[in-house]
Amino acid sequence: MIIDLHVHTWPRSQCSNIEPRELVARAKKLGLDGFCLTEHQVLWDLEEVRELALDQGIRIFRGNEITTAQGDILVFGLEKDIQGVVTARALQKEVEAAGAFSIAAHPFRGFKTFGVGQLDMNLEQASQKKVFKYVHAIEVHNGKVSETDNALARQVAELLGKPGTGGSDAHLIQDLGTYVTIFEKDIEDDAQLLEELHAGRFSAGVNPD
Amino acid sequence: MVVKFLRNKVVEVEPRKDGTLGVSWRLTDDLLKAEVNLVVQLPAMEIIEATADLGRFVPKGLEDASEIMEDVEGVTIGAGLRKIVRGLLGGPEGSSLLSEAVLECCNAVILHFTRPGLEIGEALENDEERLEAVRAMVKSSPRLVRSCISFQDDSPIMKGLNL
Ligand SMILES: [Zn+2]
Ligand SMILES: [Zn+2]
Repeated sequence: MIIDLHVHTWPRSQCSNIEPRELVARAKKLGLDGFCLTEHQVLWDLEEVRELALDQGIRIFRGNEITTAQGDILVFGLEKDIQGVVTARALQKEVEAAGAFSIAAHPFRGFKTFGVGQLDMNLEQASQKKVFKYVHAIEVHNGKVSETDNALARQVAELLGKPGTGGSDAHLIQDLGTYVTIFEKDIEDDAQLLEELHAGRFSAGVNPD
Repeated sequence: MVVKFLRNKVVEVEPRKDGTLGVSWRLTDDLLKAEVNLVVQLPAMEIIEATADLGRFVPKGLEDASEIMEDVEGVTIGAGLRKIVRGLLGGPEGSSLLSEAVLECCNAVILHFTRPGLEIGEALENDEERLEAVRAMVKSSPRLVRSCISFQDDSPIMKGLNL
């Protein structure tokens, strides 16, 4: 089952240009089985998601992208409203208490902040990034970062033995489905998605179309 | 009555053998002796170690300063830094002493990198030439813009640049 695990829509994510309605049509056209709405700091209402998905043959799931002091973290199965500046460590406590699942989103986005010559992190240094201590998985395919950034995330995930996910991080409709997570089983709802994430029955991929 | 109050503050940035940067911030006055140390990973600019040591009359709530400082480990020196650091350390029950110390450390790190470019600027004749040189430097590394506190839109440098 092919799911784009990282999508933003307007107006819940003010930075997105995607109307929720157009997502369903686009997802069908791309051959996705579903997508997960991961707005910034807000969770969709279950009822509204059901309405959006209604009889369209596309599964829509709900997650949340939380900004922490140590970087963005995608969470699934966390109903609690998290506001203000939070640490990855504090978020992990909430995630554990709720039995939720967490993924370090685009962990190396723009990691070369300064043009400081040929300085480069080695793999071991990169894997020591604090955020990795507090998540279940790592987003190794993110549609908004460079291939270099994704490649480093992949290597780090392998080194740390953490599973990797993929998502487009789409803010524009044409970006939907660039990267996906492929699940082994058929998934009906948020509870099953959470179960499959915890079971590790998935891998990161590129949408075949 | 004459009140005499002495305060001494110093921030040092030092490249370390393993390629990281060590930043040491020390403050001494008649009441307080404070030391904050950061280790910054390059080129990610991530604070990978943060400790604090306070002595003399330690402000209430800061007895375990190093434990509080753990929260800034993993923070990247970049966009939103002030908000994050103040949010973590400078809240109602937090400590503006620690948050401002960390921000001064980060500022020192940024200056450490921007200095070579800025020095070229200083050698130039007039303000216009000087600004042109800094402008060229900032433009050649677009990620610098809005990515750190010296280059936030409201900073004096950015105001003079008109990018
Ligand atoms: Zn993000
Ligand atoms: Zn996102």
